Amino acid sequence: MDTNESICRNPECPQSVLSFSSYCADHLPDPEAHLEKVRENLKAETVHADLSLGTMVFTSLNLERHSFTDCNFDGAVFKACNFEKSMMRGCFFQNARFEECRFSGCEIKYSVFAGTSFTGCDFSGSDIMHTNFNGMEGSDLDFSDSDLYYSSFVLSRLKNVCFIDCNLKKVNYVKSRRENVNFKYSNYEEAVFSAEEPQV
Amino acid sequence: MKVFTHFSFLGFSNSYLVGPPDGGDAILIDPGVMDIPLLRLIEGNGYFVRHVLITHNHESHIRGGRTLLKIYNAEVYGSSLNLLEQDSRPLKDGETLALNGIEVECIEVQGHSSDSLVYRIGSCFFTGDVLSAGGIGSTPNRYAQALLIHAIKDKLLSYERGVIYPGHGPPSTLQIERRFNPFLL
Repeated sequence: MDTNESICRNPECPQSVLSFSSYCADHLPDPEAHLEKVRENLKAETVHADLSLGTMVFTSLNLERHSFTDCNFDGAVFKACNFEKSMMRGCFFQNARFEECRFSGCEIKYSVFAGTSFTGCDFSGSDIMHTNFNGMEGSDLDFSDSDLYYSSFVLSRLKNVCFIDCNLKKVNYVKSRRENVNFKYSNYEEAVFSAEEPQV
Repeated sequence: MKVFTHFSFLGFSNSYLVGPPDGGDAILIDPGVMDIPLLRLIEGNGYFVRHVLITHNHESHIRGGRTLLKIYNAEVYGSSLNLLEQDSRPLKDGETLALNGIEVECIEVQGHSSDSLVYRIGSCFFTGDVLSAGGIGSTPNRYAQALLIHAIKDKLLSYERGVIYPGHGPPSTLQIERRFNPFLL
């Protein structure tokens, strides 16, 4: 994570700027032009670091095999985007929304998806480790054949979610609500489901 | 400033390397293990570890410290006068350090252990075992747990925003812990 953040050029605005702009999301002079500039840059490059693109809306973006390090997408919306075989490290997607997105074959580490909404997304065959999904709302998701070592789903709401043949060692499901969640062939006995005692 | 995470399979703990974007003198927080990958992380990013910060004196967070100090002649900071088998600089609640241009605020948070410190660097909070994603540190009894929860709410959640880098488990933010940590609701 890079903690150097520039402040919005709008007088008395304390918010951090978005990448490729001198303004925050609230004070962008031309949001459409900025979105187009961002899309072009995301397509042109495959290695992305220290991006700050929170609250933006992305549709049908192909980011297959891209690499994201220390990026912030707080509150962003992704619809029908392709992240297959991508790498994410130290990225923040809290409060984001993902609809019909593909993450199969991804490597995601030390990232935050807490408070995020996922619908109809495919994470199969991925390494998703040390990643925070606390408070996540997920429906129709597939995490099958994935390594979820030390990830966390505390207070999450999961409906129609597959965790078939996954490594669930140290995965935290405390106070999660699960409806039609499948843990077949996974080592769920090594996951944590009880909140009786703090875990550390 | 950049923050890098390194995981120790020995104690299932996180170490953090903090330094300027272009290399130089760096801070290592909680040296849980000293292994080749950590060495590559330090050297590959052009860092020299000048300062070691200890959140608390539990083995899983300091096990690699003695070996680290044989490689890097670093100054050690924590709650007591002697850490990692050498003289260390004891810190107090609210004390601020200036370590090679990086400002570090020390926040004492008791309950998990009597020597627990949280280090704030910018908007990043290195919480050791005090606070983790969706959890808090283990305590010997209900009184200590209440003390810990009170201290977390009073001293950490009083900040509006910040990123949490815990001693175990994934990262989080203060905003997220306010909403989704069952012990703090």
